[in-house]
Amino acid sequence: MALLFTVLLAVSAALLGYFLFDFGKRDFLRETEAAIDIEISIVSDLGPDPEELARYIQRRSKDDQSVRFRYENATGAWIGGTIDRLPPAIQIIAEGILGFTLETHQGPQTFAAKIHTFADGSRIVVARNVHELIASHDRFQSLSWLILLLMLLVVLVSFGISYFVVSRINRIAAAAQNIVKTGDLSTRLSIDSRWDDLSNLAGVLNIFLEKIEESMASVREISNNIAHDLRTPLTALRSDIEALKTAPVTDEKIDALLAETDRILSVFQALLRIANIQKGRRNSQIGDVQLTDLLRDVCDLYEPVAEAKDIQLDIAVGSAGVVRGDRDLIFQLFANILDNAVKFSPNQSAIRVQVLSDDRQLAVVIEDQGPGIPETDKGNVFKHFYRGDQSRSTPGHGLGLSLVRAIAELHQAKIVLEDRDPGLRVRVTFQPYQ
Amino acid sequence: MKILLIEDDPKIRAYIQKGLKEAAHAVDVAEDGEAGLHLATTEKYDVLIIDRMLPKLDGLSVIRTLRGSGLQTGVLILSALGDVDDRVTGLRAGGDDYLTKPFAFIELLARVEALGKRATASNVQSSTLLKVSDLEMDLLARKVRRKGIVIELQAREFRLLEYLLKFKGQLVTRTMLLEGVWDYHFDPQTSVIDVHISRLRKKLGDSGNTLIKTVRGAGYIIDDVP
Repeated sequence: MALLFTVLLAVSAALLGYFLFDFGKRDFLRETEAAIDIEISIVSDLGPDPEELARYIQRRSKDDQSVRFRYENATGAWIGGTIDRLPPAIQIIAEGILGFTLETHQGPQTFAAKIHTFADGSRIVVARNVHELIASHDRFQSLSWLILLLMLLVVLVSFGISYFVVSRINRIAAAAQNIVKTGDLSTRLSIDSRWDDLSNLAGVLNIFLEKIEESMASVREISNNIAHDLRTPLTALRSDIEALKTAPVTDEKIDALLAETDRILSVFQALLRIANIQKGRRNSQIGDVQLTDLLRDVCDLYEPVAEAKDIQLDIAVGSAGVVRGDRDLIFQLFANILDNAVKFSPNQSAIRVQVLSDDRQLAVVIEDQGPGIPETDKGNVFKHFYRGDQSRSTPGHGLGLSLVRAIAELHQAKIVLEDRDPGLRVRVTFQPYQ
Repeated sequence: MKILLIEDDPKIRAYIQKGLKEAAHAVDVAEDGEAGLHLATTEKYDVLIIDRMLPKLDGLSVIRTLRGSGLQTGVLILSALGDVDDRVTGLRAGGDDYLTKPFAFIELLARVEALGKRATASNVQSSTLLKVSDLEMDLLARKVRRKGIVIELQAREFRLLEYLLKFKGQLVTRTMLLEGVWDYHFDPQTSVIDVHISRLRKKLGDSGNTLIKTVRGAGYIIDDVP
């Protein structure tokens, strides 16, 4: 392709060059010759009468400085005209046209001439100043050369570019093919420079590859985690079932086994759910969520639980405003946070849910008077199955805050755990509504 | 009730069929979408249980075809796909309820019976006065009386009681309550529902749990005290 393109360009450049030279030269000659021919036809009508000719020559020379004559007899002796002597260097420009240099007021200039021989052998040389013409012809010619040179440059550059582009595209294709064949997502396309569109394309493709690799890695990590996290409870279940071989089967044992299985299923469900949210799959449930109503509903759900522990649940959500998101997931997020708050709060304490908003952001703050989270644990509590020292004895599968974090990330909300001393302050900051 | 079960997995099919028969329901089974659709259009059923992924014709297509032909029978979708999105597409296709595998049989039974009940209830003029033994619930005046004495309930408690009474005599599972009363689809970390129920019981003066009975590991039943 690159070669074909270059050849086409080169051929058109050559054609253009040919026309420039050919037409330039022909025009120049034709016009000059025609002008001389007119002079000759006039003098040939007059001649061979030396006096008539001499008069004509005198008149004509006065009128037109660019025309000069030399009238000479058969032996070449001067009879009349403004050319006393022909210069020694005479060249033949074309057939029947001579070229030589004569002295003028502006210095030596080039003339083109034709010779007419009369019947008596006398000759008249009609010369025309072609100095200007030649100069412009020269300019024209050098311009033509310049154009040709530029065309040549264009041809070379375009060959270079097309060769470069095609080879780069082929390289990208080969790299992609290699990735398809080997499945090795860590391969990257080479980027040779930073300025051209192809490098940009390669860069974008590399980012694309990186994203795919990341999501593949996270899928792998999730499945590894699930496999790992479920192995322990499944092993426990297996040994419990095995124990039934020797011990009598009672209803209580069956119930215990069922409860164990349900627990494993719920862990599995929760892990899948977190994975799905983290995967950031297209969620059609995204809409406007009225935070006020939602927070009231969450508090409403946990109010009896709090009451059972004699915990005061204060809500100051006012008109909290609207965020964009999945209402079920946002509900889940606050339900989990509040669930933890109630779970870890001592009896006869207070939990406060409030909304702090300005025109730039919207933060939901949930404060309790529980033991809080030690600084060293703050990064860990969002990990799967991580349970702090104080939470080991409480119910739960250790995935509540993992889910919270996944939901928050999906909504581009930020969660900060702050010390309230005593107690914990969970601050969930949402993106401004657009 | 007469129930049609369309499920391709023989193990799950036998499991559900056996359970429903034990609960005194007549069950027809189909192994694929085409056979199921044929049965559903030729026979009359109270409830259809349709697996989402079926050979020959998938479950959602079966439901769409049935709804397109004007069949209003309650449909419970069974699916291994448990995402909210999957749920929404299932319900949009015309399903009335959605149950994610794996499930406890009692959950399935409760939902199937609720669907059957809803079908008969919508035929009869739906009552604005719900009653169970000495408890009366006036949906229009939004009043609850027990032995003629008015009991003040909060809005949520009112809805909880209303939901239980609508399915009087039937098991209502905790997830059914969460979906029906709270209108959020979420996974409660702890047994919050139980706490709500116990508070409701206290307000209703149901000290011996005789009015709202707990079904262990499953849910609640409200019924006339014998």
